[in-house]
Order: sequence, then structure tokens, then C-alpha cells
Amino acid sequence: MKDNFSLRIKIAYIFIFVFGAVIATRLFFVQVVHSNDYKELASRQYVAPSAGYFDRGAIFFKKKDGQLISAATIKKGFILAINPKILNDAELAFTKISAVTQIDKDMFFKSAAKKSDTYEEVGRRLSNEEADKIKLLKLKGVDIYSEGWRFYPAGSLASRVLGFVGFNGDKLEGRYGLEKYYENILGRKEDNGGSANSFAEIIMDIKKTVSDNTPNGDIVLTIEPEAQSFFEESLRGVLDKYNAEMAGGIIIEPKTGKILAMASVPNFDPNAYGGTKDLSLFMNPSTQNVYEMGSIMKPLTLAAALDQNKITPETTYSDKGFVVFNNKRIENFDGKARGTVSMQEVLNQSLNTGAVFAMQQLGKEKFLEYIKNYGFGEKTGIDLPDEVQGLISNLNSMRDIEFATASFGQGIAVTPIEMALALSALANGGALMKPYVVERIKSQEGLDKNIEPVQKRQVLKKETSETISRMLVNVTDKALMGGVYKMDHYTIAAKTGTAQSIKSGGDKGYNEEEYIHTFFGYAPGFDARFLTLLYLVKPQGVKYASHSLSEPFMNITKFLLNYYQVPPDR
Amino acid sequence: MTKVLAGKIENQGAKKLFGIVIFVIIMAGCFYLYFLGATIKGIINSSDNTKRLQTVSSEYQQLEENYYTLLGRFNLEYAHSLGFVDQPKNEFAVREIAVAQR
Repeated sequence: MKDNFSLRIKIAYIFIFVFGAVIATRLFFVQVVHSNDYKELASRQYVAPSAGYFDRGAIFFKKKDGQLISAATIKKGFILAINPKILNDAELAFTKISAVTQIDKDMFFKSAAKKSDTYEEVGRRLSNEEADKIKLLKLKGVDIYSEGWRFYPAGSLASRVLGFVGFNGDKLEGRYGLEKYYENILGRKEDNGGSANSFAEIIMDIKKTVSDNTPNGDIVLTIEPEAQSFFEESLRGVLDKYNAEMAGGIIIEPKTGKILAMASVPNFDPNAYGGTKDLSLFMNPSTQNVYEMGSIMKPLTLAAALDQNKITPETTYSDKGFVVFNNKRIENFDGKARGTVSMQEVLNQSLNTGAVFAMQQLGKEKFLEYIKNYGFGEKTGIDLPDEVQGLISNLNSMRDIEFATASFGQGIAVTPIEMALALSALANGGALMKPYVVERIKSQEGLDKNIEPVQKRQVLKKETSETISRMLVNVTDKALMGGVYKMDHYTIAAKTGTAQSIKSGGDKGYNEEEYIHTFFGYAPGFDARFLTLLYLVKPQGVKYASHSLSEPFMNITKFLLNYYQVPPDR
Repeated sequence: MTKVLAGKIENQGAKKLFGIVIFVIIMAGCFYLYFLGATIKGIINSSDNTKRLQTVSSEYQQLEENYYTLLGRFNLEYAHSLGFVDQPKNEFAVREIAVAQR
């Protein structure tokens, strides 16, 4: 009995030993003897990502119905590479490959001749179909690797807001615009794994989850693609018509500070930014340039004086056509006197002397206080990179002439976004809002972050906002190009501005024949949904903004009222 | 007698242990086969899904590109070229007196 049992144990031991030996021998053949064959076979079974496979979070526009449309995404394709060391018949390989996709013949043979190299890229951004066909050719020494690259499906749309991804040294990262500002959210740490199959991916994903604390995510913009597209088309039209140096603008929701559209033309195609010779096109002038905005400043001056009960719309003054401060003469745009005129007429006829009068009623200290409260001279805090602040330091001198010119928008230079925010206070009941371009950060970990409107401070009383809005609606209805743009069923508050441009190259003073045209307006006038600010730099053959920008403004406003189905308010 | 009993008990203990070892080996083998199979199935599904996802996402990208192309084309001029005519006067329905007051 005992012998029988021992025998069975011995047989079991022998069986286990033989089984182990068979496995070990098989492993030896698989891993050592036929190692290269299996590697070759495996490399044909899956497509390996190229080393440093590019990955990055997406940027979305948000349509009015909430639908997200990609503004920046990752496009996937394939790299065609050869291993010259094992590529035997380069001629045959080229003939077969070029029947599937176009490749540079010279470059291919030059690469194939580098027999000491093991990796030479001969084609990039191949499609799925092309990659599949090349794989089926089963050419020894020809490999396919997947790759990804930043792609902007809308081309140049909102390019000066989006920015682009480019090399900073040897690292690909956001270089301008939102791509730069949200680098920490959009950027992805490079996987060092290089090649990967699904097994490796599982392990890599676990490792990433455990070790990576960076909040990877996508961003959703406040920018509405159709409004942005219409806006850019309108700006391009006015740029071409007046052969201007630049046309730009902002459409903002005055109540929230949400940017619905922001553009400046000319712009660039971020998919091919390398072809852009003028590097200034990468900047966003709405946040990175300052301009003397001209007469669109007048409503802000008058609103400040109204807010302090120093004037009313009916207050009159005697207009001699000019005023003199510090031996300098300030005239109305036409140099003409109008006699006794009301504050409403100051806006209707855009009288410089009237704006100076309102500022004087307010007093220099109070005026400066309002200028600062409107947010001039401070960054708005918009989520775009390298924002600059307005230049209002000349008001610190307390010289009369500086305050006089500032009251009608000359002598102080502000960014368009600063101006849009200050003007929004006229439209929204007097609040200075913080502007924003991103309204949601979609986290890959599942906890999305919504960006809510932020009120920085109350600048004007609600009643002041209503009064100045009424005055500005009157400007559109009666004064703007003789009232031809009046809309019967919508109230539109608006004001034009024309300022001489500052001499460039460090010279002091203004260019006599070069202007910056500005225009702002909001609708509906007493419950504003949108505020549009336009600026046109150095237009040719047109002197006043009322001639160059009224029509584009009205077209944009009509589009917005229709598109957002805003009900009539009168 | 005591010796014989002790030998029997020892034998039975070794047999039991041997049985447990064989059972554990068989179970481990079975589990190995099961998990290996499940993993391979998972990988196949995953690569199928990845491929499908890639196709769908490239189709989606194409649709988005088309959307942007159309966005640039559909404007008022295009509408006019197709025969759209602006309404000369907008008329809005206005209820001047509430129905209940009539």
C-alpha cells in the first residue's frame, strides 16, 4: 500500500518536472531563439504610438443651444517610417508605398541609404486607410506609428483668442492665447513608454491614475461660433472697405462679463502659423494693446457727473466751440460754437467742450476716482495671457489739460477690454464685471468646474445707468447719421468715437491724418443682452467713425437680436 | 499497534496534503486560464472599441470641419442669392387691452 502511494507520488513529481521542462524549453525558443521573429510579427499586429505621442485637452466653442463644437482638438494620423538597417529592397518598397500615398522620392531614398540608422520618417499625417493599406503590404523594415497633432477645425476663426501650440525649446506647449493661459489644464505630461500595446496601456493608465495629480481637462468657451463667425466677417468687410491697418472688437454680455465674440483682423491660421510673417498677428489687441478711444469716453464722463447729481440730461452750458487750458486750445471736432446746448446734445453732436464741462462740474478728484472705478489703469483679470493695463498715469499730474482731454477720450489710452467693461457698467445697472472667456473646465476626473460671473464693484447707481442709457438711445434714434439707423421695435444705445492716432517710433504728439475709429452700442437699450465694441485702426478715405462703423455695428446688432431671438422692447 | 496507527495517520496526513496541493495547482491553472482568457477578450474588445472610436471621432471631426465651412458660406448675401427677400416692414402682434377687460 505504502509502496503504491510512493510510486504515485514519484509519477506525479516526474509529470510536474516534465511539464515544467516543456514550458521552459518553449519559453526559451519563444523569448530567445525566435525573439526577433515574434517582435516583427507583433509590430505588424498593432500600431505603436510614436515616441512622445502628442496629447492635449480640447477647447470647445459653445453654441447658443449648449452644443459644444471643437475649436481646438487632436487630430490623429500615422507616421510612415523605415528601418534602413533591415529594409532590403528600397526600390520595391517605394513603388508599393507610393501606390498608396504620396511620398517624396528623393527623401525616401536618401533615408533608405542611411544603413546605420534604424528609424527614418518618410511620411507624416497619413490617414487610417493609407496606414491600413501599407500594413497589408507587409514590407520588412517599413513601420507605421500613430501620431497626433493639434488641429483647429475652424481655421482662423478666433485665432487671436485661441493662440496655438508651438515649440518652446524642445517642448510643445501653448504659446499664445488660451492655449498659453490654460497650459496647466490642457497640457499633458508625455508618456515615456514609447511603444505600447493594450497590456502596457492598462499598466500605464493605472500608473497615471495613481501618480499624476495634474488636473487634466478640456475647456469650454463662452464664445459662440456663429456670432464669432459673423463678427469676423463684418470686421473683415470693414477692414477691406477702408483699407485699414486693423479692425477689431468685442461682443460681451454686460450683465455677466461673458465674452460672446472677440476678434481682430487680419488674423492667422493656427494650423499653419509658421507661414505668418507678421508676428504681431499672434497677439490679441483687445487685451494687449492700448488705444486712445476718443468720444466713446464721453458717456462715461457724463455718467459720472450724472451719478454725482452734478448734471442732468437737460443741464445746459454755453458752447463757444473751444476751451483753453494751460495755454492749449481744445476745440469741438468741427471747431464750431453752438451756443447754449444741453448734455443730451453733447452726446448727440459729440461736443468736446460739453464733455469738459461735465468733467469740470464733477471736479478733477471725483473724475479721477470714477476713471479708476471704471477699471481704467488696472487689469480686468480676463483669462487671457499677458493682459496689459490702460495708461492713465498722466492724470496723476492733476494738470487741467490732462483732465480736459481725458474727458473726451484723448490723452489716456486703455485696452479695448477695459473699455468694454467700463461701458458695460452703463448698460447693466452700474456694475463693473470681471470678463471671462472660459465658462467651464471639464475635468477628466469627472469634477467639472463652472466659472460664474464676478462683480468687481458697483460704479454707478442703477438710476444713472437708466438715464445714460436713455440718452444713448436718443443718440441712435435722432443723431447717428440723422437717425437712419433707428429701429422701430428695438431700443439701441450707441456712441461713436474718432481719435487721432499717436505717432509711432517714440515721437510725441498725434498723426494729423491717421485716426482710430471706435464705436460701442448695446441692445435692447434698457435691458441689454449684448454690448458691442468696435475699433478700426488707421482707416483710409473716411474721417469719422459714424461713417465707417455705424453700418457694421447695426448689421451685427440685427444679427444678434435675430439669432438670439430677443423680443422687441418698444 | 501504536506504531502502525501512527504510520497510518502520517500517511493519511501526507495524502491529504498532496490532494490539497494538486487541487490548488489545478485551481490555479483554471484561474490562470480564466483570467488570461478574460484579459485577452478585454483587450480584443478594447482594441475594437478604440478602432471604432477612432473612426467615429474622425467622422465627427470631418462633420465639424464641414460645419465651419458652411458657417462661412451661409450669410445674408447667400440667402439673397437664393431668392430671400427682406420683409419691408416688421409687424409685431400687440395685445393692447387684456381679453378679460373687454
